[in-house]
Amino acid sequence: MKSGIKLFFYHLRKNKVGFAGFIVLLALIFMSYILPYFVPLDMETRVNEIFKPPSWKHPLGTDFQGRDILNQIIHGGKDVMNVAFMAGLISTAIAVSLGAVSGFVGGKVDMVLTSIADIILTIPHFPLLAVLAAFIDFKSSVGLATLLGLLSWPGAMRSIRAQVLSLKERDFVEAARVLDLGTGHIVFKEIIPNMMNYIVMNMIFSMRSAVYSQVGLIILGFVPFTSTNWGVMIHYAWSRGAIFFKGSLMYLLAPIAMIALFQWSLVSFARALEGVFNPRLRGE
Amino acid sequence: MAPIIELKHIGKSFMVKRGIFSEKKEIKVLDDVNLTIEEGEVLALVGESGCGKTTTAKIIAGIHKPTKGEFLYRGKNVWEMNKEEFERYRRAVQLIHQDPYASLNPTMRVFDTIKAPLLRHKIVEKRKVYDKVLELLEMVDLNPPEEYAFKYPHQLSGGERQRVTIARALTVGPEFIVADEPVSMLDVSIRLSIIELLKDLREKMGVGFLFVTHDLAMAKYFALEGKTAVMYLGKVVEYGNTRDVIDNPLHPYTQVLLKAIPEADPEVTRKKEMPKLRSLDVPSFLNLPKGCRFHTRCPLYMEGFCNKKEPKLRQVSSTRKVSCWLYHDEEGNVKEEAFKGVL
Ligand SMILES: Nc1ncnc2c1ncn2[C@@H]1O[C@H](COP(=O)(O)OP(=O)(O)O)[C@@H](O)[C@H]1O
Ligand SMILES: [Mg+2]
Repeated sequence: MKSGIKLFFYHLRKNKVGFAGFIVLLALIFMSYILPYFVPLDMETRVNEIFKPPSWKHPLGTDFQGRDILNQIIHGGKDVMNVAFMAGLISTAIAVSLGAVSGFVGGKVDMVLTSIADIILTIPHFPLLAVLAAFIDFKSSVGLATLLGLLSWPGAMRSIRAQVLSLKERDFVEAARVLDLGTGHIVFKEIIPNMMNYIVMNMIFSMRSAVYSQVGLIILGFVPFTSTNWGVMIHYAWSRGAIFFKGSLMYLLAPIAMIALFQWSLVSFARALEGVFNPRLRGE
Repeated sequence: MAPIIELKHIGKSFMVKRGIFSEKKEIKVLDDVNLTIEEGEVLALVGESGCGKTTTAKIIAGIHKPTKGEFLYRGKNVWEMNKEEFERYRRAVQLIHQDPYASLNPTMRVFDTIKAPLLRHKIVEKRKVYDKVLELLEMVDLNPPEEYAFKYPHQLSGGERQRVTIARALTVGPEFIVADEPVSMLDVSIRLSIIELLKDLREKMGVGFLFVTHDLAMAKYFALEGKTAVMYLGKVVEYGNTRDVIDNPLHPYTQVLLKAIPEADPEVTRKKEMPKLRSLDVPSFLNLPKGCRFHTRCPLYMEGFCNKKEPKLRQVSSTRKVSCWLYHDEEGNVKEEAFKGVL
């Protein structure tokens, strides 16, 4: 028997793109959470170094206040990832618990829960978030993450409900019923493990959409983030006219590239997880 | 004492939707099914695919709730039981599915699959559970058990999987096992060994069986000392001691089923004189024939009789029941002359 972690890597490595995604994700996490301890944030204005092109001193150039862009890239990922992770977690937790209850219990409970999901699903999220942002003060990223999580579960909930509906008719669930193993066992041991890859995929995809919503809100200036953040960088690059200064295209491109890279690594990692969670695909 | 299993006038309907735009339609899969199984008895349920065998099996296993009639376990209606009675019934009656590829959870190792009921029902203490699992695996001839215990279903063959599901059913010490075509999905070469295993367990532990099969030869093999019920389109058409039913089939449908079994001696097979079917098409549940359900195919069809009224399952001898106008009239009076020299 191989140990769990060894097995995890063994199956992950079988999917080349997925493994690359995993490595990039690890690198981004390292850069955003560990590196800032060694590279202090430097937000001092230097009037004589505004919009400098890349150089040895500033590998990605400087911004409209003469601040190092690389330094901001290193410090600007944590916020984005925190919000994505928290929103994904909240959204997935709600989706899994409501989806499981809805599909398993059925009847009136199912009707009520799916109606709530449908209502939330029909609200256009972005305008709603924009309006809410005017009333709610998102001082911390926790507030924004909670709101994104609370709005984004219905899609995943419906698909998890559908999975539960089909899984609960399967013979092995029937066998568990005949053996009187109880609802808890059936839900947590028979049904949920069989859709684990599904749940993780859902979580990763809701993280991805949380990144989009979050960055979108910041870029448009609906969420007045004061901290250093890839979204905030794009916002300023746009509003302070980086695009007009040939030398400092980097101020706009660097955060966009980081966000795209983060999204790509999430999705390819999710794909690779399929093999890790499905024992049938394992070739031991 | 009440029989262990009793089906009284059981009916089961499903709502089906054919196509996206059509209305939901009710199909009556089982109609007025009456069966009694005594403690420790073996009943073979035989019939063509789609006739309602699995539906019957799942009613007895408590998965399907009948839409009509009563299903009794030891004289008590299962669907009106209190919690304790129902729990007792649940543990007493176990089910072995037809498809061992679908009846094991792909994410659980054999050990976890068998451990769950043992712990749930406190059959052994936690520290003794490993030994108990090995003991059960040994009982179903999975040797060496400590090797099989930590395998996932996808690492096992169909026969090995079916042995695991048998071991799983045995965890709770059942009094009655419903085996729904337990070998029909397996390689022909290993069928016999699984049947032998079930026979062995039956003899050792005195467990009663509902043995579902589409093959009368299999019924003969497994339930020779027991009873056989023949089902056609959701109705039991003949019931009796397996020996009698096979040696002297009364219902024309049973006779046709028997014809399908080849004899050991090809000379005998050739000489077997059996009536020919009028039609090979099995009517659908959505469009059942009027009168006797078998009349559209029956080789002994009597015009103006069989297509008018539906016969009921009637006692025609002390041990035999049959549902056919050849053997009884509407009041249930037996036409003795019909089986002169047969019984
Ligand atoms: N859950 C269900 N919903 C609708 N129709 C069903 C359902 N289960 C079985 N049937 C129908 O009932 C009939 C009998 O099925 P089944 O009991 O599985 O037959 P058998 O086991 O003898 O092959 C079939 O026509 C089948 O399509
Ligand atoms: Mg069947």
